[in-house]
Amino acid sequence: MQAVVDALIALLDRGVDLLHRFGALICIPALTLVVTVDVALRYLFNSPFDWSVEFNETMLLLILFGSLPYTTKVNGHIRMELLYRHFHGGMLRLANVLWASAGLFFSALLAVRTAQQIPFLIKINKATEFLGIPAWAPNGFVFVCSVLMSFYFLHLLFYGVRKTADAEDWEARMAEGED
Amino acid sequence: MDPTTIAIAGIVVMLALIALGVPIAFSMAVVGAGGYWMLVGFKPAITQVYINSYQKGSELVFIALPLFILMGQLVYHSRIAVDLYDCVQKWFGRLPGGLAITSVAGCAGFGAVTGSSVAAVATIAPMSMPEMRRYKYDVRLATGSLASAGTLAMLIPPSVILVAYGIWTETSIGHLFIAGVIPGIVLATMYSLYIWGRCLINPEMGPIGPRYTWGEKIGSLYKLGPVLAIFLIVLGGIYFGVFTPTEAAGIGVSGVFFVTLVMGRVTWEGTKAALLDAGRTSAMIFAIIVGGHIIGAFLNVTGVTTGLISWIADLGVNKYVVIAIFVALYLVLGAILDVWGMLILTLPFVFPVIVELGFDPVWFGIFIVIMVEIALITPPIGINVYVMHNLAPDVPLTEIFKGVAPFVVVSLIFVVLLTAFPQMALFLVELAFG
Repeated sequence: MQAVVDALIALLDRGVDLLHRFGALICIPALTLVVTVDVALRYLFNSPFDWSVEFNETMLLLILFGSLPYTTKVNGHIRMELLYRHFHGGMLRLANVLWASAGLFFSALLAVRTAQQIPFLIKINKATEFLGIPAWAPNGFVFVCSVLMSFYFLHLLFYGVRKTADAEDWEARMAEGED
Repeated sequence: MDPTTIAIAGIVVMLALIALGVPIAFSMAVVGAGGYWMLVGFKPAITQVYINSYQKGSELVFIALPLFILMGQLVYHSRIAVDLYDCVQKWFGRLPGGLAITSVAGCAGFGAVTGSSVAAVATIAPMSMPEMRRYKYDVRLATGSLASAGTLAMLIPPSVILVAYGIWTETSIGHLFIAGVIPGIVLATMYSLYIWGRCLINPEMGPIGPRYTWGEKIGSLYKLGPVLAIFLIVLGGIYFGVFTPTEAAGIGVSGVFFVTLVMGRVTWEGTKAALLDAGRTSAMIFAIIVGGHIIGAFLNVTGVTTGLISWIADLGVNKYVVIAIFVALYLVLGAILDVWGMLILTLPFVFPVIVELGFDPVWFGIFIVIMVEIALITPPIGINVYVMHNLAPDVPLTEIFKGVAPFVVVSLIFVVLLTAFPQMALFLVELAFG
């Protein structure tokens, strides 16, 4: 059973890393480029892109939600560690169960709502005005990210805090507090 | 159960979750969504989660967030700060406590192109600390001035925390940036005057630094060029209405990239690290803002916020007493919460009160950033102090905290001045935007 869970979590990690890299390494430069060129076109040729607003909105969504599961994976969310770092045994387990439950509640609600939205958006065939991006696509992206986050919180709920290779800063911070 | 009781119970549960180490974003989101569910029903609650996550995540104003974070990260990886420090040191190094004043000016200059206080300390300290050691500076003054000066980066625009405040309160980010200029300069000057005065009385604390010829001083000024150019393009563009803060962020990133490319300082590793960090930090801040919005929606439904406003109005206390209470509140919260936590957690309660009392939201943005700055250097969290400790591990944490204590006092004096003279923050805004 443990081997299956480990294999699944390794697969999940790969997918989450890919999403994070896609958002950060592709979407952020694309967003920067379009914002900059748009300003230049407006002032130089009085002719900005018609589609820049919808493009930028989509890119932003991909950046923020693309990195959200990764931030969850590396325990990168802001928290008060003053007491937590001194918890041991049952208290630590309780704190982790609350942490996982809170995260799971939020991500599951978001996953359910976006899942409800997708068939409706497909049915009405809604798309952006200039680029024709179907409205269900970004919804689907958010759904996928919410599901990935839910899996991390489920893992946290049943298996406790995981030490990932790229979570050094969180662990360093925790260690720092124990000075 | 009546809505007020549910609101109070919700707030207690949220604080308990936060105290137990549940990430602040999820503590707020869960209590907000749960409370909404109890009061209005499941469907409206789940819709609140959707609206505040999905729709906020594609609001154009948010674009400034990842882009300004990226701009700071690119500057951090480009070693522009080395040039900045070198130039400032040549001009201020000969003053009593000149090397510490150089740290303050260096951090302020670095803040003008980044907005991250931790990055400011982590960048300036490795250059400044060995110099101050060489000239036998008092370790408390050396480490205290560096840790405190790092906080200036949050106040001097472009500031990521001002972007988040602007998004949350729907206050113009452009106005907030312009409002941060004079307070940033005044606070940096007050820090420098304190160092200068202290070292004038007791010269052994901060001996005079190396001598440079006028030729060397003037020759070093060109090194200020990149920082000055980026700052002027971003702030000047907003001030003169050439572009919006969101566009300024894009131009700023492109500007930094272009300047560092010309200087031959762009590396794939540095750029990649900057991009990945910008993505992660943006997601982290986004999550906490979403949580703040969800709890805000819940509190609105309960009517507790309007109740709080009426209660404060009925008390009939002077509005400056309320500000004094908020100062105390933020000092306490700063001791237990991260800067983002204390900002977003308190805004749903504090901001409506501030508006009702007639304070300008732009002024309050500057006020809250200074309170957050103080939290960065006060125990037991004081993240800048920990960063400083990592860079100078031989100096005990207690010594650094003692070193920053006078700067905390200077900052509190500044809060009083800012409250007494709000024009300090609002003058340029009124001049630029009418």
